[in-house]
Amino acid sequence: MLISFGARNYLSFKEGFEISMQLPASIVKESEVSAAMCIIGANASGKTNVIRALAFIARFCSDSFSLKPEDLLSIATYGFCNEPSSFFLEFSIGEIRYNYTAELTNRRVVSESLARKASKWVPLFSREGNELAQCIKEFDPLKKIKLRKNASIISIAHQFEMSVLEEIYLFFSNIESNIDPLDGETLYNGLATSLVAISKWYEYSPTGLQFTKEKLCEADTGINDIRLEAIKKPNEEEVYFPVFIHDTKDGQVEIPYYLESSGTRLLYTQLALFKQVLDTGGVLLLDEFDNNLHPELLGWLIDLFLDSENNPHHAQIIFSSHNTTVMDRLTKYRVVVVNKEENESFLYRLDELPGSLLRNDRSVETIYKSGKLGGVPSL
Amino acid sequence: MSKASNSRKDRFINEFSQSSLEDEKCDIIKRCKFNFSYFDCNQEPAADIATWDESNLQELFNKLKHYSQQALSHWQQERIGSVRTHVLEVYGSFPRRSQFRHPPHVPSDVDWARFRLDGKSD
Repeated sequence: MLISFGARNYLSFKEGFEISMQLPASIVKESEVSAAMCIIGANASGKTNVIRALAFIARFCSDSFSLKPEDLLSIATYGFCNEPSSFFLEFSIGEIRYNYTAELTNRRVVSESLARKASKWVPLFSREGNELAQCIKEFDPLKKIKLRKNASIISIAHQFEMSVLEEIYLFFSNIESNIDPLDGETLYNGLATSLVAISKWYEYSPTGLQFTKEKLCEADTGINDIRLEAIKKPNEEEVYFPVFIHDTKDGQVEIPYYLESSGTRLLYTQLALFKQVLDTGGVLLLDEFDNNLHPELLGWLIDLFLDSENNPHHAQIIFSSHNTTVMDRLTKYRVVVVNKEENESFLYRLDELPGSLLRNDRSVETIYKSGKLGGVPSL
Repeated sequence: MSKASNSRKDRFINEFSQSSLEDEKCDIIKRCKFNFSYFDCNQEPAADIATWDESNLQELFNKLKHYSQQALSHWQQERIGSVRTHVLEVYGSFPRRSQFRHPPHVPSDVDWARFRLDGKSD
């Protein structure tokens, strides 16, 4: 589970930010770490950059080995300065906590380290440039690795099938996002770009397809079933497209993807991510979660994570939204406001604000809309 | 310096209001309020505010600010020096030995009182 994450000197954040998923003991029932976190703020405040930071470091740790040796890491520092960007995460696997940090420039890894806490914090390895500066005996196989300036040691160890960091690799590879951390493009947004890959995943994941069918029925989209149609390409590869089946008084009507509503198309693509993350206990990052979705659907989707029966593996969702109706459902402990001054972003979780303005019996949404909590556009 | 430190966040949180009107400890309801809409400067002994110099006006403003921090009952009990008078004396009816006359635009059933301003009763 993700416990906290943050970054410094990254995109619009000149100074640091950190989002803690940890809930105060006073409100905790079962798990001390929240299964959901909402990021609110004005346009261009830096909400996407927060999500992008975590999506970036997840991609770096799980897939940077696939870069060519001279490829850039695609990091944009604040104001394109030459100082490295810093990333830091705390997460748990079972009962053990891990703390990962990395300092990166666009061209190279400056440092990378991992520590573990069972009873006390123990540094597992630390890397300075392309040198392994420290490593405990258990991680000795890492000494055999020839480090590469644009690849994470975690990603490299996975490629060389070294088991010592495999759990850590799995944690990062189970972070799914609807934005490309490298170019900021939105993915899985109902457009045709992600349709083929998602439909292929559904073809090989009957439980995934069943999950999406059930959820689309529950969401009152008028869909009763989904059929995947295969088309053979000249190279014999099969490409799959969904056909949505609607029951009408006059019998069943089959509607192709491109004629479905934007909301249905978005749900078809995004529910695959929901299912993957719920199955693995991963983290789902959704930028502009409220796009094309009715406010009541947002709450219903968030409940997939908050309800422990739906979420036995403790998956988590972190999303940005302009729809404020979810704030009262999530309470001040699960809402982060991103604010901006002089084009520098900063953020705070609402329970960090002092005083009693956000008492538990008051509507967070109403107070936020009044502008008292910051994070609203100054028009 | 913590890696997540952010001076703009710190300033925002430090400047965030610590209290709200509905707080139990918020006593704005009890604090005395002043209403100057009945102010009468047309009587012979009255001094028009326009004739006051800046330091007098400043002093008056500071007194009003100070008095408005407490309830009227507080100033009724607050003694001035060793004299057996209080910052606020409520006479009830219009004082007999005043150079002023009851202004006709002031409701007849108000309580008359005086606040001590600068060493003498005003």
